[in-house]
Parts: sequence; structure tokens; C-alpha cells
Amino acid sequence: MDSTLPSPNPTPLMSAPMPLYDSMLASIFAPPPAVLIATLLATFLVPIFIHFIVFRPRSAIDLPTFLLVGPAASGKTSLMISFESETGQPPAETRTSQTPLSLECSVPASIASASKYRSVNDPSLKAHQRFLLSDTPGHGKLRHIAHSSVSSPAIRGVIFVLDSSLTDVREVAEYLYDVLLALQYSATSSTTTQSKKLLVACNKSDVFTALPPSKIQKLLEDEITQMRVSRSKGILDVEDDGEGNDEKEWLGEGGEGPFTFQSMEEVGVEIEFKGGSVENGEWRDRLSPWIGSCF
Amino acid sequence: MADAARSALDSFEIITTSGILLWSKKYASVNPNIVNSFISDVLIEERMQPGSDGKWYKKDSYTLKWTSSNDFGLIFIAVYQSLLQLTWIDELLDTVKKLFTTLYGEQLKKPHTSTIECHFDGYFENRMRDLEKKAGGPRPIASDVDGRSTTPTTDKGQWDAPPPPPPMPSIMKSHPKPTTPAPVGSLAKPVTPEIARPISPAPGSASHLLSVNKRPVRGSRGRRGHASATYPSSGEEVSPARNEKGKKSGKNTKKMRRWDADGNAEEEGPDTVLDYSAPNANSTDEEAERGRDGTRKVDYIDQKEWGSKTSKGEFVLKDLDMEVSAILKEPDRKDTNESGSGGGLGAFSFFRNFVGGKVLTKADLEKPLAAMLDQLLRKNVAREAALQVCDSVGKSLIGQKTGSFQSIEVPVRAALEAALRKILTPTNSLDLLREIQTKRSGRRPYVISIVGVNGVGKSTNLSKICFFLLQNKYKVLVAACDTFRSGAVEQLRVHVRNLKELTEREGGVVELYEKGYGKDAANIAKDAVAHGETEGYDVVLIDTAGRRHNDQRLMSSLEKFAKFANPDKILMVGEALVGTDSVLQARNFNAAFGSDRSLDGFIISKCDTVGDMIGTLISMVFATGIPVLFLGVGQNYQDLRTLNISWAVKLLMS
Repeated sequence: MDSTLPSPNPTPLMSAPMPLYDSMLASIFAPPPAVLIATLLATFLVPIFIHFIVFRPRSAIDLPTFLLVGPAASGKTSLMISFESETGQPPAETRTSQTPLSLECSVPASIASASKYRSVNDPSLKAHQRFLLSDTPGHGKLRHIAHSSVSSPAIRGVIFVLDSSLTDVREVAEYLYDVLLALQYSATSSTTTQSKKLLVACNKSDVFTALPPSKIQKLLEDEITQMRVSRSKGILDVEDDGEGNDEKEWLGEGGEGPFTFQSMEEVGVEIEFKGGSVENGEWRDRLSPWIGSCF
Repeated sequence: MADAARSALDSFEIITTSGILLWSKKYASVNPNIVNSFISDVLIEERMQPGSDGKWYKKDSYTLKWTSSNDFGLIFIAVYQSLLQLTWIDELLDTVKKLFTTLYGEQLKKPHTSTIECHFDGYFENRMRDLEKKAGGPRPIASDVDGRSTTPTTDKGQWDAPPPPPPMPSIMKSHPKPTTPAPVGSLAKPVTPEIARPISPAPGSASHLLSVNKRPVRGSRGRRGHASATYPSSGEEVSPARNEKGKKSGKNTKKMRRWDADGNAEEEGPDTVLDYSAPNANSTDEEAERGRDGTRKVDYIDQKEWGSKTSKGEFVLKDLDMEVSAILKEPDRKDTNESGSGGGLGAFSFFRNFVGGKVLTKADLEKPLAAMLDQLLRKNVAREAALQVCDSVGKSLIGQKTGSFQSIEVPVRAALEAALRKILTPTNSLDLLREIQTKRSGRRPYVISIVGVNGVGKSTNLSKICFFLLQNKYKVLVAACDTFRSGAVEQLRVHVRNLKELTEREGGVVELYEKGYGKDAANIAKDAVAHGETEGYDVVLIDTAGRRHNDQRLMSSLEKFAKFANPDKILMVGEALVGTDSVLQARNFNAAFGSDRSLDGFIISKCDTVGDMIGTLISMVFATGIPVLFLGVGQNYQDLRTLNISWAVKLLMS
């Protein structure tokens, strides 16, 4: 009996940890339904939460962007909206912009410059070439928005919109000068040989006082000629050490003669003038070929 | 009453900050230039009209009031004749803002779009009528006018009380769509803002009402979900249930029951119908809870009576009313929810501090803005200007969402940088040479006069400008109009002699025009300009006596001076060393030239002595909206610079 007694004793001793272990195991492998549900919920919901926190809707790919710049009240926002709508008709009215806005627009792929090598039966010609048209505020205090994006590599072309009546040549020319300078700088500093493209859209051609684009071009060239001189003689800005940035400041090729938009091609900026009117819904047709040539 | 409203308000516009007119209501033709000049004056240049305190804007016999919604980038503008005293405009703006953002918030959030589908006319008219009635009528419910929060209660009263309140019939009559038959067939329409219209028309009989009981439930739930999804704050993770829970923990048990009811709508069919009828008017507020417990039966009967009494068209109208009040109620709930989010959602918002995607509230912004204020004060920005800048930055940020993995400081910093840049950027070009070229008409020289407090460096900066003009081969006449301080004329004489020697070789011509001491400065200035005209000078530079900006006697002579000399440019010299006083200096000098003349620019002198503490620039420009033309950066004649805005912003933010 004595010999048999100890034998059960070790078993309790041995199995003393066993119930604990067992119960632990049991509780792990057979959790109460509440825990099970909570765990399952957490497993499925946490990734979803994180997804919604991290994920922001954005356009799938970086579309080529065209930038609309120009003085206030020249019709940039209207032009952009007229491009978005299929009919080319602008909305009734717009107001002074304070923030930039990009709209997704499209032109038929058949007018894109690369398409001339395609067969006429190529189905891809029927597709639409999509791009972003980006409007910027024209108010003097907010032009830095446009300036900061003019030279970004995503910009395929810049459309400078102006009022064909040209009531204030100086203001228009000044803004155009700044835009051209930024384009010239980015064209000369970039490693690619691709030239920057600028289209001067002389809007509001339907108004009685509107000038023809050729006349506007002449006036702007005269104004920029004078401005170029006065700027080169002006006071340096406070950060300037006065050396080594002549190229950055002087618009066009080095010569002292009158400024022409033609001469900008030598520094890698192609400029084109076009007239039209948002009111008459003309810009869609007139701008599409130019936009196509920029792709 | 409605006609009165029509004549009272001239137009109401909802525009985006990017300039697109989303919706407008015109009762009279208003020149768009009025709104445009409002935007550029107040919203872009931040020039408040005197006395307006940023509350209104007057232009050409019109008064504009506005409110903006930062998270959607919307501006709501009401235009009316200044002759009228309309007390309810503010409330109209607020309620329309809530309505519009709730209804179309989803559409507005989409990128790359300019237009939205909106049929807002009905909602707007509805609000207009209500407010007009409250303002003009005998005010049956006085408490209503005080605040939006009480409005839904009244609406409920109108809705629940068996006899319709007196104003109701007139509303129905004047509503544009009373004849529209209730579109019973389109019950399954997807969840749109107008969902309540097809759903809740009780089509005459109770049985029909019961038969459609499931759909309304779904509809109402769906709509509520829709509304909550438009909360900029909540994103997706805050379900309506949590929303409510977070808001009123006291009602927790009832809430749970409510959700049960939604879950097993079949077994509690009639309840849910009734439930629907009440809460639709006052979605999920306390009244609804009470209604479900106690007055359920009454509601049901009411609904029936309504149905049998009135035509379907009137139900359509009623729904619009209901929906409007429901929406107006919901944003309130959101506000309380957001402010109380420290409780249930506290951990989550804490998480968001790191991960981003947090909607900024006033409380969130307090700390970073205080840090920014300190930063500005350290840079010697006057306290008044710094406070206002931080205030406007804060206002522009409330409601915006932080980006992914972005702390709150990042957008605050960016916004402050943008604000500083905006303040410093001039509206017009500052090319002085070009301006002299174009402005000079006939023989009259271009006249620049320089004013300022004593000892800030007026004469020094005048001679610096003179040197710059001489280098550009202009013929300059310097007029010594400081007839007060001994030695002032002699000082200028020395400057002129030096400049003559310096620029003789380059062909500059400069002379001094002096008439000794004690004479009237305005007369001397006038004579100097006349002398310059006869002698063929290009530019006349007028030096004036320094004066304390709060000395009325000395300042008043400036008005006469401006009239006599008629300068093309009046420049004020302010020293970069000055601190808090800069705001008042700039303001008083700006106001000293009479009502139709102001300063044209600042010259900030002694910039080389302050290092990066160039806050005076901000203070002075902010106080007046007048740009900085030049900076004085040293002792020599050539130490004059134009302002580089990026440089200034960089220094201020460093």
C-alpha cells in the first residue's frame, strides 16, 4: 500500500502545473465568443481604418498640365471652364479667383503631334488625350502661385491670357515679362533641349475696343524693350550680391536692340499669339491644335 | 412677405475660392464688379473698411455681407442696398452655408471639377421666407431669432401640432412646386439630397404608409449616413452610431434601442414608420427620443391626418421644410461632436495627430498658433500685427484637413508663410524708373517727397535715391523743405556736393533748392516744383522735416504740403529698429495727407542693424497695405535695395 501510495502522489505533483497549462491552452484555443468576435472585428477593421486614414483620392497618374496665367479679369477661369464643357460654352459668370484650380480636360488624340506618324486606321486616334488645365489667380498679391509653378517640369505649356482691349499695357507686360523670365530660366538651366511653349491668348476679341493679336504683340514688344532696360538699371534686390546673375535677369538674347518674341526662341521659349473670345466659345477650337502640339 | 424679401436682398452668390460661381440668386441686377472688388479688397488684400470690423463691405450703394467655409473653399455673399437695415442676413448666410455644405459637400470634395449638380433654389427660398417672417412678422416665436439651435424645435412644433400654425398656408401657396405630384413611384431612388421628397409624402392612406415602411427607414438611415459622411471631420471611421454615442453619453441606452429597432425593423414595423415621421424633422435629437417613447401614437395619427387632409403637392413642400431643418440641425450636432471628441474619440484623434488626416479645430490650432505668434514677436513684428496675422491664419485653417503623416505644425507654418508672402507682395509693380518714364507728362518733373519720424534717415535715404536716379542719367533737383531743424539744409548741401562729385563723370546733374529756415515748407515745395519745371529737371526730390506721428499740429501741415507740392510719390521712411510703434507710425502718416491721398510706399532704413529681426516690414505693410519700395542696408549711397519677398519670408520664418 505504501508503495502504491506515493505513486499517485507524484502525479498530482506533476500535474499541478498541468491544469494551469491546460486551462491556458484551453482558453487560448477556445476563446469566449466575445473575444473571438472582437478579434475578428479588429483583424478586419484595422486595415480598413488604416486604409481610410492613409489613402487620399488623387488622380491616378500625373497628367500633362497646362498652366493658365495672366492678369486679373482677363478670363482665365472662364476659359478653363469653357474647355472642360463639351460645348465650349463658358458658365454665365465667374469671380476673382483666390486659389488655383485644375480641371481635367481632353482633346482628340488625332491632333497630338506624335499622331501624325500613326496610320489613319489606328484606333488610338479615336481616343482622347487627357490633360489638366490649371487656373491661377491673377491678382497681384497671388501671382507667386503661378510663378512657383511656371517652371515646374510637369508643365507642358503656359497659356498667358490677356484682355484684348489692353487698357493697361504696363501691367500686362510686367506679368508677361516675369513669366517669360521664369520660362527662360528653366529652359536654359534644364538639361533637355525641349523648348518651353507659351501661347498668348488674346481673349475678349468680341469687345468693340479689342485690338488684333498682331497689334497686341507689337505693343507688348515695345513695352518689354523699355522694361528690360529699366529693370537692368534698377536697384538690386536685397539678396542679390550683384554678380553672376545677368543671365537670370536679362530677357532674351544678349543684344541691346528691341525685344521681339521671335528672339525668345533662341533661349528655348516658343511663343505664339492667338486671338479669340470666351464669350463666343472659340477657344476650344483654337487652342486644341496648340495643346496637341505640346504633347 | 416673400415679395418684401425679394426686394430686400439684391443677390445671393455662392462662389468657390477659385472663382467659380456655383449658385446665385438674383433679385436685381448687380454689377459683378462689386463682388470682384469685394474679393480683391477684403479677401485678398485684407483691407477692412473703416468701422466695418470685417463684418460688411460697402461699395456703390450696396452692402455686402459674407461668410466662408474653409473646408470646402466656399464663400457665401449676400448683396443688398445699403439703405436697408437687414438684421437677418447673418443668419441667412449661416444657415445657407450649413445647408449648402451638407447637401453638396460630397460633390465639392471631388478633385478636378468645377461644376456641381445643384437645385438649391427651393432650399434657399425656404430659408429666406423663414427668416423674413421672423424678422418682419409679429414674431410668434421670439426665441427663434436668437439662434439656430432653437430653430428645429419650432419646426418640430409646426410639424407635430395637429392644427398647422398660421404661417404654414402662405408658405405652401408661395412655394414654387406645389403642383408637383408626389412621385410615389420613384421611392427607390438612390440617396440624393432630395430623397426625402419622394419618400415621405404619405400618400393619403395609412395602409400605404405602412406598406412602404421599410424604405423610409432605409432612406432616412441612408440620408443620415450620407450627411455624416459629408462631415469633413469624420471621414469614414466615425459611423453615425459612434457619432451619437460620442455626443451624448447620457442617452446611451436609448441609442442602443434605436439601433436595435433599425436592426430588426420587421418586428417593430409600425414603430419605425412613426419613428421616421418624427425624427425626419428633427433627426436624432432629444425630442425624437421622447417622441418615440411617449408621443409615438400621437405622431402616427398626426401623420395620417396630414395625409388625408392635404394634397400630395403640399407634402412635397412640407418635406423640403423638414429636410432643411433637419440639415440645419445636423451641423450643430457635428460641432458639439467635434468639440467633445476628447471623450470617446480621444484616442483616435491622438492617433491622427501623428498619422494626419485630422480636421483642424480651434483647439488644435491654439498651440501651434501661439508658437507662431512667439516667432513673429521674436522677429520684432508689432504685437497688434502679429496677433491679427495669426488670427487670420487660424481662421483660414479651421476645418481643413492635415495631410497624410503630417503634424499640425506643418499646415500652420505653410499658411503663415503664405500669409506673410501675401502681405509683402505688392499689388502693383514698383519699378520706379519705368514709372518715371511713363508718368512724366509734359514738362512737369516727377516729384517724390519723403516723410517720416525724426532721425529715421530721411535725408540719407533721399540722397541714396538721388544717387540711383543720377546713375540713370536723370536731372534731379533736391528741395530742402526741412526748415525747422538747424543744420538740415547744410546736411543736404553736403549730400548734393558729394553726389555731384560722384556722378559728374557719368553725366548726372543734381542741384539743391533751398530757401533757408523758418519758411513754410509747403510753399517752398511748390516753388521747387515750379523751379524744376522751368529749369527742365526730370525729378524733384523733396526732403521734409521729421515729425512725431502723434503730434497733431505737425502732422496736419502734411495735408497742405501734399496739396501744394502734389507729389507723384510720397514715401515714408521707417526704421527697422522700431518695434510696436511701427503700426501707429505707418497708420498716422498714411492718414495725414487727407482723404484722397495716401502714402505710396515705405523705405525701411537701417535693415543692416537688425539681422533677421525684420518684423517692422510686416507691421508697417500690414497696418496700411502699402508696399515696401526700398530697404536701406548700409551707410553708403549705393546701399539701397529693393525687397526680395522670399528673402524676407525666409528670415521671418527661420
